[in-house]
Amino acid sequence: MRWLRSVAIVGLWGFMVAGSVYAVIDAKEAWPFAHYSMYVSAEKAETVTFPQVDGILADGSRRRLSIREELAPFDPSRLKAFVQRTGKGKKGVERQHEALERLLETYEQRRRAGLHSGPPLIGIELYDATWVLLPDASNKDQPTSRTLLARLVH
Amino acid sequence: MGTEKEPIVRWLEKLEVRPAAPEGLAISRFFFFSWIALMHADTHTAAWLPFAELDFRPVWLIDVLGLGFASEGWLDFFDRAWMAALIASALGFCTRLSTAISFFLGAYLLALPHCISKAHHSDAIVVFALAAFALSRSGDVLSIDAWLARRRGEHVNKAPSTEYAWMAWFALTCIVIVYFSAALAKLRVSGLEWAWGDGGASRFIAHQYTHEPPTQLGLKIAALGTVGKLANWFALGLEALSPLAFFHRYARAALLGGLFTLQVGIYLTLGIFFDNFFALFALCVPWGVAYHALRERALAWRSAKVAKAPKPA
Repeated sequence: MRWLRSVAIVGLWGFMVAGSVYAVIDAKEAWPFAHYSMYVSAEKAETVTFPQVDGILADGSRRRLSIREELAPFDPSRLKAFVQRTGKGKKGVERQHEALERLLETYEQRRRAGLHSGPPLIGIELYDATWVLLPDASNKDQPTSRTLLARLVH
Repeated sequence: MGTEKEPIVRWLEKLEVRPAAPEGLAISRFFFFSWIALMHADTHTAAWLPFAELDFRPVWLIDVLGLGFASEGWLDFFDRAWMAALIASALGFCTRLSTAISFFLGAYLLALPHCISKAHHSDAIVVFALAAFALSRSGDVLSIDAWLARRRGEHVNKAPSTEYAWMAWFALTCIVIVYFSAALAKLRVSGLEWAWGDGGASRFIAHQYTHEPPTQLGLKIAALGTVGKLANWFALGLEALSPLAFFHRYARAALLGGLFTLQVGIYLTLGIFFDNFFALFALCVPWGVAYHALRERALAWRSAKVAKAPKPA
């Protein structure tokens, strides 16, 4: 038993190191092994693009949703990847429609459960918002342009 | 708790890993599991279920084990069981069992969200630390287990041993893997231009648009121009030199302190809180030394107070 535990500890350490080295060499994520390729670009960016979600109210007006709070468990980058991935392939249109239905359903369920204080919605829109970067970020509440990626209206 | 040394202890002694007091590992255990429990207190894995039906691409661990999303009822049960195991581990209650459950359920529950849309790596390394705790003797002292053992009249081992030191080295390996890999990725893609270039400044500015940093420090650093690039050098230098932490205790203290500062700086300037990484830093602090220093002071203070007290006539 003692030998077994010692072998297990050394084996775990070796497994972790070997898997991590492999992930770095291969430059691929194989969770829980990762190559931690974050913020690797050295290029100066003039613009930045980030997902935004608008909720459509019954009167047709729009309200910006907080993705982390009102569309949990998603975060912005994961939500965009999810909606875009569901839109690919033969049945992409149907699957993306279904994905947005489920997002709206989740929003409503969380609203009814009192987990956020947003209003009832009849639809949802996912955008890519782009900003021209200013040194003082004074335009951060006004994207320079927005591209509609997906929409659902009841 | 016999006196014969286990093979792992003999190997570590050969690597000159010094024996440590069991209290150090116990305090690390408390901080590590408390932090993980706190950061995942609102985990609701079943919330992913409606989306898993549309976009499920298992990460390596889930794929290899042939697992998938369990039913809503089971996922809710697993969430609660994991939280209970984390709390029991922090308190040192049924430590061997609770740390084992913390690892097995943790690996499963942490992996599942990464099977939808994209895999993040912010919590990946913690799985290995959880596994290491499951193999450690972190509940020998300062635990409910030790308290119960004393009540039963059993011997509780308090002698320093490398048995209580290897976890800090394991955590150090985890930290070095994360930061050294990050340095290699930057150097591979951009080379030293990563630190010389203007990418860092635009990153500081861009995060004011896309995240919610608690300060505008990033904008101020970006405005400093060439001087501001020192922040890039600081980050890349620390990450690239992190393996030196294995070789000397002063280098270890400086690099770990620097990397911790870097992590706090990332939060203040970019608004990204890598909560799980902070748990690893807690495992590298020599809590045992601090515990015994404080204990000796407290005992000395109490002795002095008793000596000063007027004796009854």
